[in-house]
Amino acid sequence: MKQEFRIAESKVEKEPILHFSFNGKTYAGHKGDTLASALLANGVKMVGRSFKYHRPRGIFSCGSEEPNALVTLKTGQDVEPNTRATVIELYDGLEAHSQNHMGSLKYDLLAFNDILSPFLSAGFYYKTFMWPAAFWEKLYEPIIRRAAGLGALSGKEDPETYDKGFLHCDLLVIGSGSSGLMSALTAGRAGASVILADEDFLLGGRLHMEQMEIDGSSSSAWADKAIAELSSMPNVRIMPRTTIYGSYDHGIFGALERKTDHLKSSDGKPRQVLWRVYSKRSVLAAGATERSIAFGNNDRPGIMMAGAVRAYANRFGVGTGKDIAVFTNNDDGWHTARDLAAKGVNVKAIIDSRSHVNITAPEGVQTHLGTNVINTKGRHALSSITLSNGETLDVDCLAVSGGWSSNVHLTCHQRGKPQWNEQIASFVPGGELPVGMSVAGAANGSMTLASALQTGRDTTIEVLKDLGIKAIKKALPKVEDEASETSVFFHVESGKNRAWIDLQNDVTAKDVKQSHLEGYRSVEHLKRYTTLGMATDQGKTSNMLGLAVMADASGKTIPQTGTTMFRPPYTPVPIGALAGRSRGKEFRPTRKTPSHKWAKANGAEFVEAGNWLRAQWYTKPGESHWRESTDREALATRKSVGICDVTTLGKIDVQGKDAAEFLNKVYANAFGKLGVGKVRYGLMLREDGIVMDDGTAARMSDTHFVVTTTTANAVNVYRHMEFCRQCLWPQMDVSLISTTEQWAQFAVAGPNARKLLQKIVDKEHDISNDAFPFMACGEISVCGGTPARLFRISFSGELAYEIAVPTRYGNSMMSILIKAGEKFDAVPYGTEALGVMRIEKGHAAGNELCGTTTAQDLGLGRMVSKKKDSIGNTLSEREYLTRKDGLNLVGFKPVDESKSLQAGAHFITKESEPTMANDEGWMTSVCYSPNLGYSIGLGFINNGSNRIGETVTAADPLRGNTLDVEIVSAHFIDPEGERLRA
Amino acid sequence: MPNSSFKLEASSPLAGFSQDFGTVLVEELTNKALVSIAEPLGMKTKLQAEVKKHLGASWPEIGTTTNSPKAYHLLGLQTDMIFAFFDHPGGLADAAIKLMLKDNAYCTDQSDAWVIIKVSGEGIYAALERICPVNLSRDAFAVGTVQRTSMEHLGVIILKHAEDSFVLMGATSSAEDLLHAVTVSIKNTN
Repeated sequence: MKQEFRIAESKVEKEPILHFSFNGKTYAGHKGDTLASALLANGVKMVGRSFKYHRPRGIFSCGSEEPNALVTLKTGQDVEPNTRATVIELYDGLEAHSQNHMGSLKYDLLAFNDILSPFLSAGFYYKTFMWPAAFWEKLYEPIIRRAAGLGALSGKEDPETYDKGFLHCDLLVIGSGSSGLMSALTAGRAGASVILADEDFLLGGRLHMEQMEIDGSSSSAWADKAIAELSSMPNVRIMPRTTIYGSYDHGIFGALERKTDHLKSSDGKPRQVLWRVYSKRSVLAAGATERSIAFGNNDRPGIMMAGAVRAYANRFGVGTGKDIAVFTNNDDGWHTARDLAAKGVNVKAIIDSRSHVNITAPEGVQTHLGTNVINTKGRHALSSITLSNGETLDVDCLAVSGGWSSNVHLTCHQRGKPQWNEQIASFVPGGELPVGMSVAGAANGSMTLASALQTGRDTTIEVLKDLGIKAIKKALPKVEDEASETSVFFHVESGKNRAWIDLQNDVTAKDVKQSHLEGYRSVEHLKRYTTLGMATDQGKTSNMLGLAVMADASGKTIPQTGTTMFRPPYTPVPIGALAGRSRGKEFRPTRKTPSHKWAKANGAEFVEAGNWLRAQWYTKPGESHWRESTDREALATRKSVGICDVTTLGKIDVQGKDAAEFLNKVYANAFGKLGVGKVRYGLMLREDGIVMDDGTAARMSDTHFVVTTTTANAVNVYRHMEFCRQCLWPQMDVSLISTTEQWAQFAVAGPNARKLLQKIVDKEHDISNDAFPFMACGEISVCGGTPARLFRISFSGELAYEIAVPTRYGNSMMSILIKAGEKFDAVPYGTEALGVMRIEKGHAAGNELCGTTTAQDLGLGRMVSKKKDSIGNTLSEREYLTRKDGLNLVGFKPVDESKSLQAGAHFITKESEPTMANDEGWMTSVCYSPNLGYSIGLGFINNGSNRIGETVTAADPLRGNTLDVEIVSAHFIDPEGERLRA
Repeated sequence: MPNSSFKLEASSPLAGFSQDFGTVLVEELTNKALVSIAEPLGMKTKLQAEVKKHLGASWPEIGTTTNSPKAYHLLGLQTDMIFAFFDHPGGLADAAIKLMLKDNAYCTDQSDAWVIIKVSGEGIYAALERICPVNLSRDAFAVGTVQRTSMEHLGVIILKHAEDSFVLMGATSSAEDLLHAVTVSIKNTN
């Protein structure tokens, strides 16, 4: 486990030694290593296979821009594919595997794809595999997917947990390199609340990757000192391992913090936290990304970005080869040669595409000016390079620098358009930046250390001024500007050799040219046709090359060609992190009724009604099917008495001198003259005349009504009424407040309902039929003084009441009602029995109030009072809605009573074809009526109320349950309403 | 005549939950009342005077609270309505307020509609920033500040009633979910 490429002192800690495995083989590394640096230290060059051609690929960069070194971490359920080895923080016991190969990494059977490459150029799958068409889904696509792909998911639930959070700050500094640190220091010293976020686990950015001096010490030491100062400031929050992945409206940013990815176990804590950062201002100090040069066979393991080669040497103490050459078009490549030589690494040559340079090479390093690399060799790793002057050099690492591109991504997330800067050969932020954002340092084109520090400070002083915070202007640290001349040079004509543009997607210069030849003129089309710039790296190292080659092919300039649109996320964000805690039972909150505990203890099966959990039925010993329970509950209620928790129905207290007039306007029927102590059924229409909701309004006093809504529409109705109050009729004296949760409400239904209630209602309240008739209401007390509200209303059609007590007594109330009803064999009933009884009675519910039906359809047309105006009143009179042969809600029973009806069946006249043209309506609700002994239903059918007795067909071809049904009255039970008035 | 054959027993949404998580103490407050006091149209001045006179506190601006020597905390939540938050052992809490304010206000008992959870301790900021979108930093959310917000899809009123101590009010029906959201946050950040 000798790390033969470990070369010098660096930021990694020598002790303790960490052990990790790659493809089952154990290696050693150190704290502070990434998986990539540790693999390179151990001489592992080939780490994966390319996407399409399965070419050997090695580590290319040292950051989140990595296109090649994608590995699968962990095993089994914990497996995580497509992670970039360059950003994986090494820990003891880390397990990683290469991906996208059949057989071993070295001898990948799918490498024959490379031989077929002439047939697999860009867009090949649009042109081939066209015949026979049926083969595409069954044969071609599975084969292509198997051969071309990334890593594989486990297919099991992610065992990790994730969290979310919200942060606020005066200034968000994105990136902790030289400009970012300078910005954070300036703002922190001024007392602003600052968040400094960086995707790396080591703050300081390239300051740790260079051998530069600041204030007489190394840039790395200066960074450490700056971090220490920032850490001592209570107003500064430092967030390493945190990627600001998206810029959103109003200075809001998305941030992904990797909390435990660098640990072997999360130990029960969330692995990652997805933050929403609310910033008053932001300074983007995201630096720049080095780009490559396209030349023949430029994809072999050992061919790397020059800045990365330098970073591995300086930060990680790793030599990326024994004999290294540098191929560059700018001065920065020369810095790599300089730093490597200083570390004792053998630099064989510097090859510069420029004919003249103002920089000198380290002693003993050959230089080839005006020369390019045109080809490379090496089966599994680089062994030699061929130069345009005909010379061949035996090297095991080639450091390539095609210049640096400003990281403008976050400036573009709200459609900002970057602008081309010829001087640095890079796009820089342009157009309108996201609200509150400023850009500093290399991200804004300030490519030298001195300018980065200065813009970091000066930009922040401006920001602070804007925020009204006085900055403490300190002198800038002393640095000398490094040589930074560059040239616009991206592509070496390489004849038959493929010159790779996008290593991650196996896109070559030829593919880009072919795309242009085939008519794809827009850069966005180029991206879609070739897949250039897609996947985990989003083309960070390749987009510029692709644009340059396309510009060349089309005879345009780079700025004329433009860029593709950068969109969030900047780097991949796991779906688990986006979901946060919203998984399984925690996807949405659960609302429990006041009697939930009692119901659970008494055999209730629950059903979700919106967010509510309601008792659906109560299983008694010996009952094995829900129908047994439901039938028993419905029969017992109609025979004697049943109790149901109906708290979920919306309750709104309406108070004010204009409360009655207000209800007159929001309900279609009249409420102005409703007496105190009376309840009225109310129908609420939308503006368009369609029924919105139904419910009751009980007048508790002259100025106080209690309105009920359906469970489903509780929030909608409240919102609607508030809109009416605040916006339509602000001159009315009305106050609204929801009391849905304040009162636990129970339906007590059945011939013995009154007798049961008389056992608990305090004696001073007379609830006899004379004193408290049907549709009466009042404030009463129960069980020795507990305040309650009583409403004599009936959904079941029986003698029934709804009694409400403060919610704290709800669970106890259910128990007491059952106990008080023992003499009458009182039963609790759930939503199934409730549904059965309302269908038997012909009452409309959610299935009928479905957002498309009118009062006339429901048989309630006469409720829409024409003596007053109300919402929806006028539009309900539209010709089509009032047509004489329109839909009517009626009842249905099967002609053969042994058959079961099904909701959703559509009505057609007998012997007709089940087509849309013959459709006459549909079945809305069905149930088995235990009281009638057969299946019954409610539904809408054209002119239904004039067709009672007619037989039609309920067509249900999808479920194969088409049957003849008879149109009957919707009131199956007690059509005269004698029971409820008893 | 009272019907005392049966006795109703009150139960709070979280059965008086209380747990010390080290840096955060979580307690359900069960002896508190909440009553909404709404302003009749055109009676703002009169109502504010009556509130001051009877409850001993001035009408709070939105987002702020006022306190009275009579231990009423008035929470400013919207333009024409405030909440009175006070100790009350049970029964209809609005009755006493109605008695004082008479026809000058529309009062509604909300005590049973809300679960009231007190969270306190130095770790509470780290825990709440996982679920609360509001900036709770000491500078931005001083003692006496109140805000309506949402946490994990639950509507919540958050009140800072003392340093490092907040009162969270959420719907009774989803009290267990609010408690779960809070305790998970504490565990995640402890």
